[in-house]
Amino acid sequence: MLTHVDLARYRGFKTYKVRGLSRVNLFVGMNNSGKTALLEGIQFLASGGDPSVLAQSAIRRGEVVVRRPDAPTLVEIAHFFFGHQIEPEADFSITGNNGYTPVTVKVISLEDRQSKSEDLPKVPRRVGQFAIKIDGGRRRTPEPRIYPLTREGVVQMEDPAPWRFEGYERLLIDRMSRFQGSPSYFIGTDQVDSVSLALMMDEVAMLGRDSMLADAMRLLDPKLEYARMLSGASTLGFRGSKGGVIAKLQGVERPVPLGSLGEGMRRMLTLASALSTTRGGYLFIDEVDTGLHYSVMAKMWELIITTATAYDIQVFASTHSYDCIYGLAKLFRKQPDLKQVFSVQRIEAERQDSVAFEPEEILAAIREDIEIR
Amino acid sequence: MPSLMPHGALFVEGLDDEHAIKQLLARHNIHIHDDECPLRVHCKGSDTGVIDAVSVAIKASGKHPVGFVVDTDAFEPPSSQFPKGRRLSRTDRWSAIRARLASVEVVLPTPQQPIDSELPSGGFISRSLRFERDVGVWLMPDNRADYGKIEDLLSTLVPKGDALFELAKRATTEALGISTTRPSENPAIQTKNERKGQLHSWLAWQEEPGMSYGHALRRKYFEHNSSVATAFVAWFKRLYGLP
Repeated sequence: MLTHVDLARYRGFKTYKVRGLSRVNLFVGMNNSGKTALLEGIQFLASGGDPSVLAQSAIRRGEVVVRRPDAPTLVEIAHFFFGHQIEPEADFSITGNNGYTPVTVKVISLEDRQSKSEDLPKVPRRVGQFAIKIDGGRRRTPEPRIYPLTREGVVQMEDPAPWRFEGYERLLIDRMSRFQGSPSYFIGTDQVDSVSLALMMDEVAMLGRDSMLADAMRLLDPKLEYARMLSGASTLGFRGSKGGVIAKLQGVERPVPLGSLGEGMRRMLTLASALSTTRGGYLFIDEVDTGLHYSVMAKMWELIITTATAYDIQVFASTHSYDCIYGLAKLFRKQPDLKQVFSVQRIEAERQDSVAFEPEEILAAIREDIEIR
Repeated sequence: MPSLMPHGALFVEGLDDEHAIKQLLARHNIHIHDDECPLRVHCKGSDTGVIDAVSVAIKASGKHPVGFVVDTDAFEPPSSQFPKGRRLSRTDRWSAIRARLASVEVVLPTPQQPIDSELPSGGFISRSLRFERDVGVWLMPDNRADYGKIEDLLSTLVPKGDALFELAKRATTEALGISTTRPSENPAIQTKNERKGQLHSWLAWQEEPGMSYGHALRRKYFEHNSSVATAFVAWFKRLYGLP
């Protein structure tokens, strides 16, 4: 489990230290404070330097060039470097105490390498002189990954993987990263639609984790036997703009729409599914309060903390919502044991380290109306 | 002279303290009544509440000064070490506060000095280097008394020789004698609240009976410039950078 992370020259962070991380971690701060960048950086480290993690974060931010739907996605890699500059020897690194060697990304000159053409991935046209080299990761340092840069400074980092279903065309943007063994998954702020939920539940099914998902959902409603998504192909069931998710309750013969179980259940199902797919690994949730009413924040935290503890998942979340922190305090008052596995950190990119808050301090802040964000 | 509007946060023990302090400051032309005033007074603390908030208040967002006005007289609830609970004095309170100040890197003498040297009679002001803000502590009433609350500061503001106050003192003493014969389920005033009894009795016999401390300060039943009150206002001005 990561307790310390150090960033150097990554995005808006010249140097940045985070200490005192725990099993479940909440990053708070103003908009544009760097919370999302920090989540992405930690995922990059936790994934062992998986290039698809970089690519996915670029796609979420729109830092890509897409020419044709079936053409490879080209990542504008400059934005990952402090100062947005691609120049020789520019680099950034992310270090942690999870036993991995530091993950570094460096701009190298292609002429430096005595390379044979088979070593490099299929090279886009208009290659320039430079490449991105990713190093580091697991205990045993793997082969460095090298990606040539075009003269415009973009990089092809992965094969295209368009996904087509029922007329929806999307890139499979948020795939699981299992690059070096530990699964990691990033839930971005846009993922509140049916398609994302369907993909997530497919992943749960493929991993054989349906019963883990049901267990997690039962924290929210003990009578729940299972929840599942209808394909929408038939005229039966419950349809609507949000797609049909049904819930089977103990003692009730026919399933009911998931929404009738309470406020925010679809989002809870998304979170529970994501937890079910990252057992033994890492889950990243940007703006964790998205799509949830203030009245169910405490329930959301109970779901996350209990499931992460039971299934050895390290969770990193961000928020700028007061209600989200208030819900956390409410849960801590009711279930003080849950405090021990939680850390809250304020992120400000202008500082050089995060400000860690003890759970007792969160309770005092809510009681005394002190602004910690 | 234009009124002074300080910026920052001030933590006090309760509503009585909040209103009394605001009105005392107003008598010195420092106005923190409005919602627009950028100084926020936090007063939801219980006996240990203000002290519990010290570290998080200093870590809070922003760089404005933070001040803590703490009762010197407090009661620690029963614990395994002290099964009947414990009355806390000035040194206990300062130790607890000092430990929390140290945890957020407020500049303090090393090694630790005797309390009178670390906590001046004019109030404590220092700075947290890590969180880049000035921090102040005032132990009621005057940073010197072993046991004290806002009432002890207010009693210095009763006009000297006021006959009604002399009567209030005598009456409270008499009441304390009676209170020992009361049934334990409905106890009367205890010695620790003698000062409070004196003040409330005095206020009961003014033209507008039963005024609150803040109201009585505003109506000038209390004076505003005893040496303790002046020292408190001077500490406040230094902490919040007022002229």
